[in-house]
Amino acid sequence: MPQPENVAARLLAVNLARCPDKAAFLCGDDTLTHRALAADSARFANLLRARGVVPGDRVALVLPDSLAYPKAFLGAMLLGAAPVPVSAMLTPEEYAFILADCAATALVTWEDSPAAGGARDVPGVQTVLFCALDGPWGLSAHSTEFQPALPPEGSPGFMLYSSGSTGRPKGVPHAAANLLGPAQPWGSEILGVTAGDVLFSASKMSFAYGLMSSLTLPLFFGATGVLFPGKPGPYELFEAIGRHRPSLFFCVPTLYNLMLRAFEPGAAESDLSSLRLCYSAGEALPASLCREWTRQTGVEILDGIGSTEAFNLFVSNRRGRVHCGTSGEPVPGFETRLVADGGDGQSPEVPDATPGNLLIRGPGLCRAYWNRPEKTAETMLADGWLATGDVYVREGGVFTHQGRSDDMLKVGAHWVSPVQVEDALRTHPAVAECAVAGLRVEGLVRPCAHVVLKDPGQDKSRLGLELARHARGLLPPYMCPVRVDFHAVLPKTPTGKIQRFRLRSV
Amino acid sequence: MAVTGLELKAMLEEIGVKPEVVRALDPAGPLLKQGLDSIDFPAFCALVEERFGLRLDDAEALKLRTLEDFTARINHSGGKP
Repeated sequence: MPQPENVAARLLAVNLARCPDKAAFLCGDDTLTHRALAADSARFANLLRARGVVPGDRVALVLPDSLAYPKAFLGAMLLGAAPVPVSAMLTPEEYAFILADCAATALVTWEDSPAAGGARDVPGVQTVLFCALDGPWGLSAHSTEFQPALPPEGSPGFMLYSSGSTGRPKGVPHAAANLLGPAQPWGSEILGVTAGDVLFSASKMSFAYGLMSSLTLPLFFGATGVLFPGKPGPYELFEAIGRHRPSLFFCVPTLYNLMLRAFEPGAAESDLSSLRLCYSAGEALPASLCREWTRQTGVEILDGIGSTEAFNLFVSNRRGRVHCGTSGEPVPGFETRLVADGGDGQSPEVPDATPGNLLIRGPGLCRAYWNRPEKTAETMLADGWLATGDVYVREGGVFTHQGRSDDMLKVGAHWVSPVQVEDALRTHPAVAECAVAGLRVEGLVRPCAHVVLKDPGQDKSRLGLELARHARGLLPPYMCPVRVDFHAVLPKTPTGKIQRFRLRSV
Repeated sequence: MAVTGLELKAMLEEIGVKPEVVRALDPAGPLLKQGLDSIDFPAFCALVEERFGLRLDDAEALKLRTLEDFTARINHSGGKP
């Protein structure tokens, strides 16, 4: 029987043997070779161990995409601890929740980060390591020799967080081997990744999509990943593409939209000549944007859908046969079923051209949320099926996204819980009731607030502006309503529950 | 009636773009280069559609880059109601 092996150790060893002096990652003016990555990951493991981290611990990573990221991620894995990448854009309270929820013993972040502030209220966090873009201070003092350890039986190999419908994020633990899941067949068959590719993801490594495209794929194929620490705006992305000349670009529809708006054909500032393929995930890519992107840039764009629970893409378009406006066809290895509301893996499938809830089954799916048995029971169904929460129509084997089966919105590839936005709006004294639902703008879903005022006689145009400003002060930008509509009453069920689906205009 | 750049600037303030950003806007320059972000743009498009009773086709909306582009597009459809 094959002995279980440390996944990080294997990835590092393979690349050390086949391409030690090749760039594993590029970040700004800095290059990290596969040899240096192996050495610094081992040093990181030694550093964590010296600071009291043991196999089975969770190590939260709150970092910009930078050379420190793969070192910290792989260093924690070498030690048999579970790296937990967390978005760098949260508030101290949100960090405190996640750090306590995953019972992290260590936090790796930058000095003065809001995560460090959040960690002060979580007694379980015994170690806070501060990192610059290339790693923590004093890393080079540690040995490059490290005997890899395995996570204890039942402990996750790594864990990501996904937003929940109540706004409370859910931990999505994965076995260490699942880190390699996206390499085949998504990386090999669908993207055709080879060692000669340079991969650049605008989506950050704290998201499954970013971690797959920035860490799994470059390391599995012995290719090169581009890490971009800043906030990705269209001009910044063009600049990074011009500088690093990636062959594969991974991004989200909201940013593709802005990039196309900033694109100047033939101009040196928007030179995309290095790209052989673009990929889009995180939210459905509108047909018009898919066509315009290819028409204007000349680069094919593949839309697909994946999830944090799958740590993979399970439905995707294919090179050479893109169906714009659809998510494409199932990725080999994944089974799909479209079932009526409340259906499970045993339920009959809805006929073609009829909307149904997408269930998937395949390798590497998370089978239980972290400490959330009710949510697990709703999502992780019998016989290995997973309810994605996405509604699809299938025609001729091609899947077209119809929206969500719950009230969650996918905005700029971020999950938005209407509840969180409504809670923020209700803190304004003029608001009696409110509901948040999707509004389609340029083919993309955006939050729209539907408000009932305490005093219907108030100046609505002034209040609309004031409520939008109020929301901006309380919420991250992607959660802010793009429009405020006023109503005399909101649609409700006989039991008084607001029917958000009646307010959708998507 | 034709809409003016000044009126559109007031609408940008309405969706929450900072007054100093709006004041400094060059009507002929790309809005994305002058401080508008991925939230401002859809909010502005949504407000333009609502205020002027027009429907911006997705592909066409991608071509609206400057304040002058918006002014021309709105006036092409008959301007203010």
